Amino acid sequence: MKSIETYSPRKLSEALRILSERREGIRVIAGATDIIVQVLERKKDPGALLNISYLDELRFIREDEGTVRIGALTTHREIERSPIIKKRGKLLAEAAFIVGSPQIKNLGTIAGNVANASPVADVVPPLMVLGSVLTLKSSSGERRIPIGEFATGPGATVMRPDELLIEISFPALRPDEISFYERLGQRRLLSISKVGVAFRARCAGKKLSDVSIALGAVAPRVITAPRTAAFLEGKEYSEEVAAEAARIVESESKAITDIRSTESYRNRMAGALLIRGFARVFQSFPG
Amino acid sequence: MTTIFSLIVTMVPPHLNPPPQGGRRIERTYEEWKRTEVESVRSKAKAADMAAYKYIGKRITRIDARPKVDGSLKYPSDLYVKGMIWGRVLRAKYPHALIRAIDTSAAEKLPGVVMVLTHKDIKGINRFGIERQDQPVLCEDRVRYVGDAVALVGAETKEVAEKALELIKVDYEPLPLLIDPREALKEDSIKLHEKGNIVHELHFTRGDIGSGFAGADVIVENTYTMQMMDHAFLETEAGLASVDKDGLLTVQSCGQYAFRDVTQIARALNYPEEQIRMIEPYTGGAFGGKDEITVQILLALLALKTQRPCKIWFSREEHFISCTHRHPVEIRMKTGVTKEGKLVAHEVWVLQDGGAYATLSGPVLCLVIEHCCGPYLIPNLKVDGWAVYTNNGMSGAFRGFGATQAHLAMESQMNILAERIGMDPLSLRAKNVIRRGDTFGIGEEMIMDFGVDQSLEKAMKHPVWTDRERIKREGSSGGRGDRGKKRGIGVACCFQGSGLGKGLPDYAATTLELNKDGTVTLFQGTIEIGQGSYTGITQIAAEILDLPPEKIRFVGADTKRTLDSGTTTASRVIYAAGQATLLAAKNFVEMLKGEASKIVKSPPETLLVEEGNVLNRSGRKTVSYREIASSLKEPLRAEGVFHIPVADREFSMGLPHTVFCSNTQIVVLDVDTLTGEVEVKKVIAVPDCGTVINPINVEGQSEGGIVMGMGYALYERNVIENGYFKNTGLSTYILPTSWEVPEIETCAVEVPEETGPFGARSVAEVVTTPTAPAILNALYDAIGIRFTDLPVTPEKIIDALERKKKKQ
Repeated sequence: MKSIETYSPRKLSEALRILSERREGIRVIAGATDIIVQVLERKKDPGALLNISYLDELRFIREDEGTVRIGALTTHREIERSPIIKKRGKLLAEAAFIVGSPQIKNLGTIAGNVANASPVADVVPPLMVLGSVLTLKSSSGERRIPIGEFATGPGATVMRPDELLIEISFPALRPDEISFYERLGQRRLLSISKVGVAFRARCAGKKLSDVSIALGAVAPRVITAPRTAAFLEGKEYSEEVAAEAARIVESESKAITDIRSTESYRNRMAGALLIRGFARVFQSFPG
Repeated sequence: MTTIFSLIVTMVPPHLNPPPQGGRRIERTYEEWKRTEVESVRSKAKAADMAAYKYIGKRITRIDARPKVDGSLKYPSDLYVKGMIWGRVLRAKYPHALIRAIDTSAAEKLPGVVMVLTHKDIKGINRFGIERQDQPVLCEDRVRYVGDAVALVGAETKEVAEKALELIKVDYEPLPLLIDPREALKEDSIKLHEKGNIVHELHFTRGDIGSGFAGADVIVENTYTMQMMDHAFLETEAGLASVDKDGLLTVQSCGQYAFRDVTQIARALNYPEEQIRMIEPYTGGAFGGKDEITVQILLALLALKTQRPCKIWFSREEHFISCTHRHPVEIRMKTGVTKEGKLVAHEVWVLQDGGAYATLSGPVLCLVIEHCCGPYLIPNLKVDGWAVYTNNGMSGAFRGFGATQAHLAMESQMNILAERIGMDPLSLRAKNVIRRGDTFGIGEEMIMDFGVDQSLEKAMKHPVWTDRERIKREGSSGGRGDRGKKRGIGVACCFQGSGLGKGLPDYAATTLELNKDGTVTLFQGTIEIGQGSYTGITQIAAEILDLPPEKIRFVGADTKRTLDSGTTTASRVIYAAGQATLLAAKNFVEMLKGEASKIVKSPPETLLVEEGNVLNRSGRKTVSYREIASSLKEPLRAEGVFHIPVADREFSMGLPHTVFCSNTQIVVLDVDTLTGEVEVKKVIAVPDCGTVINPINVEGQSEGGIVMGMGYALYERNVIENGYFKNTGLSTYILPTSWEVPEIETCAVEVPEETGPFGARSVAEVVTTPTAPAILNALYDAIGIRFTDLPVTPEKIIDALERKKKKQ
């Protein structure tokens, strides 16, 4: 077996110190579900590794004063099963359920998924519409940036080499808010998304406001759908409104054709999933 | 008039007949069989008598269940020995290129590298191939697909071996590609092999096609295209080889025919056959994909050269690019029917892309042709088929072996015809089925009992079929208008021969030996590839010997211990090896009685066997198997050899078959018209496999076959662009998972096969064939769109729905 220089600090401060000293020469791992595959397939030489999986201080889900805070090391399985997330960020739990296999979900962390900056990451569209903020920490300080400003392209982010993504937080969903995450893969589970749609809005009766929509797998990074959101703002939900919103979101989707799907299907499905999500939510909605 | 272009038969049977290994032997050909055994089998195998059996037809736990679950059973990839080295293969960089030079010097210098081998190190013909030997073990001057092996590294660790591959310098001159099979047919196309690009072609006519169509009320013509499909077995190709001080080469590996592997190794490397021992009882899945040589010759070469034990285990990616697949095929069918529902004429055109080397492309084409009418009588027929070489990977044997592709087209045609003449699709099938005594297809005769009529009848009476309108209505709701879910119910039928067909030696042999403790060892040369045949064979022996299965020790494929029992392919094992075992067991019982008579002093004909004892009819004088064993100076051994019956007339190599299984399936599925997603809800399967030896195994085969058929219809495809594989992992090659598995009900009809053990036929391939066409027919039932191109992805469904909407 190939040996890789690996650091496994027990304290966050120690991890940040190693990062500040090594900078580009080191790659951060937590669940390591991506890097292990890449190394085994010899597609990537990771150089040195900083294994942060012992930093138990980064393993938490809590709600304080209307804000849900998720530690970087929280796994998809923990998110999927968390009563707080199920209540205060339900669509994130829906997305975490879809990710990978049970084995991947038990190891893979939410921060790892976000930091990878993959346009197909299932947890990112829900985090976008929830208005998540990422906390990036380095030995010289801490900064908080909205998740929408984090990824700049596939695998590329604004994070500096000496920074660590330590926390993801978002305003807890309130009882008058509706949300959903819908996605399509090449099969029901164990597949990478071909297209994913996250939706959140306030809803009074059937009247929508403060609408937020994010689309996965239809652009080099997860994108929002501002024109669709603007169209829906102040509208009462009906099947006709949903159909019109679907037409708009299809034009905001910027998909490409690859081995998993086609441009036209993906764009059209951005609309279809919006319709499907609405139907699901309003079927059980008390209004 | 019938024209036949026969295959260039270079298939080398390892042995015309298994040589005796001692003990008494009973050998049965079909002719002898007919004289002596048929009546008793026929009468006994009637369902009413099944209760009389102790082990046949019972849900016996698989003999390999426990060791497979607790991990004590070693698959080829589980084998490790002290001091072994790892072998890794350098694959071609281009799908088509000349090799100008290979420089291995840098790789050889890498610490830990034991040896780097190229074609120069091979003494034999350096070729392999079941039907003809056109594939190099290690390429000399040319590569024809990206899976071609160019060099072989042996190193102390797998990592060093991999590193060494990167250090081998190969000077290539890329050549133009041949990737369109239609192009391959042209005179002026690039030639991939000396004799051209046509592996095999077949042309048959029967009756008068012109007047046949003239008498038809409805004629339907369609072109069906099918993708390349991967076997996707759990265990990728693996094995371990070593050479002892006397030069005996032992190869333990995956495979589907140990004895032929010996022949292929010996021929390729010019090493004496008697100095080669293949051991391959347990293989982690095959489905035809391990029929051709994979690791065996490479292992042998490396072990002989290095004189060290060595292991090779293909990665999933290596498996995808280098091994055989299901043939991509284009089939054009024009079929005529009268308004009363009589099929009158059928014209078929087949183009099969075999990829870079022959392997079994020719025989697969034969089976496409043999099954191109489905299990139906059509008096006027014209078929033309070609199998060609291209640079698109390589295709060969895959469960169904051409019958899968033929039925996909024919079973679609049947539903289209039924709709056009306003007839129930199962009734149209039932009206045209082949029965015993009929001349069918290209002129074959159905000489045995054939259960397709009973399979169809049982399917027609199934509540899912009789109540289909209500079931369909219940499922088609959800949203409004075309946004909702649509349910469809489809049906398809199929048949397939058991065994290799005319012109190929097709026999099986079993040896039984009495152990000192009164247990019996069963030696069988076929392979347990997951289908459960070792259990079925054990049950057959247990029934005749009246000995519990746990008292029978099973020794599987080992060319120095078991007799040659033929291939583990072609739906033949439980039928042929089962019958050989039955013969051996009857022989064995006679011998036991003979020995026992000396002890109990009663004539053998007055004795019978019961629970591991021989006793006289009054039951007063008893002698146990153990007592018999201890009374003997030499071990008691009995052999049984069974020859599969063959037809009188040969059409082409492997054509025709004589014993046929069949299957009918009903599929219930939902189409989400919003997203194009398909959910298969329920599948009913009615296979006729003759007497069911073990219901658990038949259900297991049926369920696995259905899921495989779902993958073919809806998910799976090897994507090849310009000769390069684009999806080489199980994250991009999409298999159905447990989430996609529907409710499955298997209710077999048991039409006894008179030449089969206790009336058993076989089940391995017919279980998967009807699923894909039944899905296509159900899709049509749901949304009114006829798909003719596999796999039917949501993308295709949405596009088709859109087109349909625009037309309206």
